[in-house]
Amino acid sequence: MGYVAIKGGGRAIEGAADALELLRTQQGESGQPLDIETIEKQLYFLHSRIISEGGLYHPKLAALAIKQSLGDTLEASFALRAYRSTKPRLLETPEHDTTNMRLVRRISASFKDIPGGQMLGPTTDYALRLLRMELLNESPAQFQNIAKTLFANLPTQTIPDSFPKVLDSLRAEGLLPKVNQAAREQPFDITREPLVFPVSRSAALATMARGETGSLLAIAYSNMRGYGDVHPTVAELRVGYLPIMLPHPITGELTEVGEVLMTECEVVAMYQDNDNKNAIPTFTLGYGACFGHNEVKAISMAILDRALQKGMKDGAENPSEDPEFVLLHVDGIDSMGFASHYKMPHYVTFQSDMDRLRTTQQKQEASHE
Amino acid sequence: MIDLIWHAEFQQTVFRCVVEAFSRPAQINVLPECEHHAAIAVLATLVDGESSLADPHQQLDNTHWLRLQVKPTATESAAFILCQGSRTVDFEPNLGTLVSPEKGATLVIIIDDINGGDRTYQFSGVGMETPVLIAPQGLHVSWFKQRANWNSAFPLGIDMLLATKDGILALPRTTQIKEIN
Amino acid sequence: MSNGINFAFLDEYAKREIRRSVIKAICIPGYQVPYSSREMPMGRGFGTGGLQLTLALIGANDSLKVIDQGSDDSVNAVNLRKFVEMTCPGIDTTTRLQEATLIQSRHRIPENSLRADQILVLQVPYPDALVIVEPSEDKRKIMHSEADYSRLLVKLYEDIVKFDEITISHRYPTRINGHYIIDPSPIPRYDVPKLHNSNALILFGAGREKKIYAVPPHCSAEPLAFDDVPFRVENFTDSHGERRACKQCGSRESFLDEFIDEQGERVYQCSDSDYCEQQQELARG
Repeated sequence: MGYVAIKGGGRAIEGAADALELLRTQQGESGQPLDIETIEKQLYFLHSRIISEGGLYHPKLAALAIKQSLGDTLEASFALRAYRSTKPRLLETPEHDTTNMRLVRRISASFKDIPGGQMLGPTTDYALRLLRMELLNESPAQFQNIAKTLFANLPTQTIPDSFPKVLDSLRAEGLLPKVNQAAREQPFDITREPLVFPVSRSAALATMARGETGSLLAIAYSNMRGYGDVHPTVAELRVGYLPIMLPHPITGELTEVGEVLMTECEVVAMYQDNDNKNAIPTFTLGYGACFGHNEVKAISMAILDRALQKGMKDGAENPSEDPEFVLLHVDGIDSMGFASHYKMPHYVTFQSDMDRLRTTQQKQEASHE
Repeated sequence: MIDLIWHAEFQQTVFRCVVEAFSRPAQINVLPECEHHAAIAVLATLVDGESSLADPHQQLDNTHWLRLQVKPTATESAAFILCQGSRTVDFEPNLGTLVSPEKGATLVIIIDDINGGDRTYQFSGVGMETPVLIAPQGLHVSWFKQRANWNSAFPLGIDMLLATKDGILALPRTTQIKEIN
Repeated sequence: MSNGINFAFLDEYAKREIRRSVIKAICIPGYQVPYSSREMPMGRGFGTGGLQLTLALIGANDSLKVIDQGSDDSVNAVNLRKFVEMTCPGIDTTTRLQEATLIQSRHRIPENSLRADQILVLQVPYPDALVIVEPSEDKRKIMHSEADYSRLLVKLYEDIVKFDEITISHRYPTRINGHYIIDPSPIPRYDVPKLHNSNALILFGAGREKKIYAVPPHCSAEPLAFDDVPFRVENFTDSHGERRACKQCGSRESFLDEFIDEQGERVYQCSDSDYCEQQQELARG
């Protein structure tokens, strides 16, 4: 009978789950299950992306999410996000100062040298993208040897625990506006409150911090190419571990409870008209930060932050300056879910569509006769 | 042993009573049995640290505040206001804004009984097939007078929930109230 | 609980937020109450808004019916029902409308009228009827607050000028309690009159768009129309002017699904599978 497409839905779903599980284990008897730590360490950038887009700093479960979703970034972030829904928010951290980050990498494009020095760290920026055929058959011994050799040749001088921020020196010179302590807002929690426009800057930043990398990049790129005019200079991009402080449950004293790997980007853009005619013109700022090591995301976010601030102040002239346009379309969980839902049956609404089309066709035909 | 009203299961049943009460105004809804006043059970169900509560008539003790995990808020801005119905109205609640009418407060008003009072009111509007007569006991005449002012410009306004020891009756802002002589 | 999952999946803070929003939605009929909308373990667009409402409402005494396109057995309905069964131990599920206390549905309102002790939860992809004339939510909120629906009426009017017919097929704009106009979710026009003066509370949940709204019991719900171009439901009459019947139960009153069977014939069948089965049971006696 023609109705089978929607009958037996339960069995079909179970079958689909089995088929997917077979896909995951298709190497069969020669296969080795992926180890959670291997995912976290060897798929480092993928793992960083999931931690960031999932919006939950849980390295172990992020690796599990990658494993069970067969490496699909949208699905993996989604599973992590859904896990987060089951957890209450028990404590709030105070504001954290990223000057305290234990850095693995920091660069500035605006100055040849910066206080504390440039530190290239692990990056593919200057690597030749040639396929390294020798990795096709890398033996465990070769793999383990690399770290051993590199560790043996480490320089003995130690790196300071923290570095000054480039922006502080720009501020000291009067090239940037002073931090307006009075304008500091209570941070907006997008996981507990809906976005009702117009939204605060902190709400915009929080939304982008767990936004989908490709979506943020595409909209930021439109601004870079001419649908906008941010023209940023990267004042500082830093990657490192930020110690997380929480009030002690009994004494209330701030106590370090762990650290999170994060990426932060501060861009400087050309100065704007100031409302206050007497004020001295200064550069403007854009800020991006997210969990994990995600440089393209942090840069895109910083550019969009600048573009959105301009849009909030003077009205949006380009999509990247429109808070609703940007913030309601960069969440990967929302957009992938809705794109996928078109695969579900829609035959009741389609029946309704056909009814309207047929009626309209009949009326047109009648009027032509 | 934590009192029943702080348990998730109990709060689910209270919530369904509250839904029923607001869906069918002027209908008396008896809450499942517990050792607390119905007003407290309703607050336990709806209020936590992510909401806000005012207690202008000091009906709550320290334990309540701790359990509700919420700090007292001024009546002008609170989402929930616990009131003693025998008192005259002595505050101005948040009526919401045209674009955010949901910010209009919910008043939980403690009264003695749903009926048996000396003034009879007729309720009509959304949720009622026919008008209903109620004569609340322990509700000062100023409450419905003020309510008419607060709710004069729909969608702005407040929503009321009258609570006896074990029963509730809700009056959303859509309910029309007329005093019957 | 095993697997570390809470009863009804969400933590109690999330449920309380949804519950507060539900109350305000009932108090301001047709107004879209914003809420934070947690991520659910199924796709945005698969009914996460409806599901969050169901999970905030459901308790041990409930019997839940889940339908999609009118059917209890369509893949999405099965998936949602299984999830609720898994996370809410002790509740009952059913396919029979009269046994259900809570009904979650996508795209249909059951054929038979609901009772006062039932709650219908509809899944909503686009909560705002104004989105077809205004993309900015900020501006739409102002239009709603002023009950300014002139642009929507102009859209309907343009349709009539162009096609001599209102071409909106489903998601038909409907005015609630004489004030707010809602998108009643992608139910066919055939189901819109069931919103009017309903015995049951009807709740709408839009998870991705983070909105909850309600049509309370015994509340007016009027589809937008003009005096000379009335609102019309889907037409199921054949070329002889006769109402088509369901090929399974023979009903000439139900909303029908149309499809081509294996012989290449076009056939019609009730969209509401529970209604269809109960009609057949009645016929068998």
